[in-house]
Amino acid sequence: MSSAGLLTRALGRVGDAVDASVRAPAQVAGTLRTVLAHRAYRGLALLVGSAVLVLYLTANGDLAFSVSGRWSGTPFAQLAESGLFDTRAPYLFEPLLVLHPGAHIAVFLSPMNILLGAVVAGLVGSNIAVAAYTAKHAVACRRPGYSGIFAAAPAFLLGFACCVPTFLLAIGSGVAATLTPILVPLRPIFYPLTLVLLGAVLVWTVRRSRAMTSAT
Amino acid sequence: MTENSPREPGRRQVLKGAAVLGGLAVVGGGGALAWQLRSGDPPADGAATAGERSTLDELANAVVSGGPGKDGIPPIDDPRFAGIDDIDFLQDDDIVFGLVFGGEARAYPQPVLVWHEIVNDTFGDDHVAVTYCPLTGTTVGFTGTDERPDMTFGTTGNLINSNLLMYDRDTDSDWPQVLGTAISGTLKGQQLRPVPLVWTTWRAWRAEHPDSRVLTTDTGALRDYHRDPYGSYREQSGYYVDEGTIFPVEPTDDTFGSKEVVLGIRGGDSQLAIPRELVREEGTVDAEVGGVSVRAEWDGELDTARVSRAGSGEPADFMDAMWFSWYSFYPNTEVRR
Repeated sequence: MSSAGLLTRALGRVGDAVDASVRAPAQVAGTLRTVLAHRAYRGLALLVGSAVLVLYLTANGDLAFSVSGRWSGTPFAQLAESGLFDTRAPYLFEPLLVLHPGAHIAVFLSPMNILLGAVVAGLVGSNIAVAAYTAKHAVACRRPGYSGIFAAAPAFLLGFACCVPTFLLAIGSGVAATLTPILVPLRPIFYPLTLVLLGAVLVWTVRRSRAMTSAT
Repeated sequence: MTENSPREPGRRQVLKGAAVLGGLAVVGGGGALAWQLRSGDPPADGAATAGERSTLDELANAVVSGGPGKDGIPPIDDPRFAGIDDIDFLQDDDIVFGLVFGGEARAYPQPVLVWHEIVNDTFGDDHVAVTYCPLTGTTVGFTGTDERPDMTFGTTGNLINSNLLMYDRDTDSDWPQVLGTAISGTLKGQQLRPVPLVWTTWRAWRAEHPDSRVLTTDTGALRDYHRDPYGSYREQSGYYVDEGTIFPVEPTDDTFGSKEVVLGIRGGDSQLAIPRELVREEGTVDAEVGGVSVRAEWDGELDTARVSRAGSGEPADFMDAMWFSWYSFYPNTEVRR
């Protein structure tokens, strides 16, 4: 085939991909309606989504736990003077209220952080629910896996301790010094990257589900 | 055409694909151009070579993002204090930074400052910005410049040689905390007036200054003041004792361990570093820095070292600092072993 023919075919493939992308939201919505109509999968999505939300808030420091009970004697609730949209870093907002339901847990409440976490949690929960539905109803022998949820990983790297990303503190200073010039400038894209990856995984999961089941 | 030949794409699909790729190229190219313009000149490979002090422009080119946005590490602009007996969140071995200014003693707990780095405080009519950088182990106060004594500061979210880079709220000029000299902005080249603080423990400070006022955790922001994210001075763990740094630092030197605490002293155009442990062992260390005679003395009551001018007894221009940090800004510093 000539170069022109190859180019034409490649551009046509891009055009097909555009059409598929335009159709994807409607397909995803339709499949999710079908899947979440079942109580079992709805419960699974809520359970997984809740766990992801807890992990997200723990990773960014909004949920903190202490084995030693370091908040002993601390007032149950404290208010901040921050505004709703005051940020500490890109996609990380200041908490407005902290609750200490006991000496072993602190809950820093930022409505914006909860909203951002809920979006990630919703995407992961939806992915798992559709994958589980497909595994149950697939007519083909090959069953879809759940590994796509690792697309959520960048969102768990948003936490900050003062001026240092917490995941770099966890790595240790020696390795961190090598990674910081690369990772810190990229940090602002972690959250949108997570949404793009999880969205792409969801579309892919829905497509496979539609191909392997009678889901519409 | 055979039975297995792929379908030839229609004209509409080809045009659609060309439009999408063209649009992505424009967006991608525009984004790259905008990023390039926003980033400015690429950072220098290092702020200086060993033995050569950096120019202000070299330092400005060595600024890196620590990640937070401007004032993402919120300075305390309305500090609230309490008496010694009203403080219940500190343990005896917690670090506090002590200051006696205008006859009044105040303590700024490290567990609070590790989350805020700057306290824009006032003593009567005098403005004193108390600053602390956890990554370089440096604490120093500033009373503005000779022309602008009422300056207040914020955090840029950026670092230079791992050190806090402040900005002043009057002119938005940038000031590395260790240097105290503006490296960019309207006030570039001007020098802040430093006020040394003492690095001591809660137990020692309250015994020595029972009438002291103490910065509380009522800062206006919500933070986990019971936890130090970098490690522990009390238990000597984490970043404060590890040899490595989290952000790149240049130049470096192995005369002392990177995190070994030195008394960094400035006099004229010269600098001197004396290991804190040396002062503890010797009790008194006399030196001359840039023609200024100074005396470093161990204060057994506060378990700390102070440096004063030999003639007047007034505080010299000094600060506790991790060795790597002091050397990165003053690679031609003299050392006392």
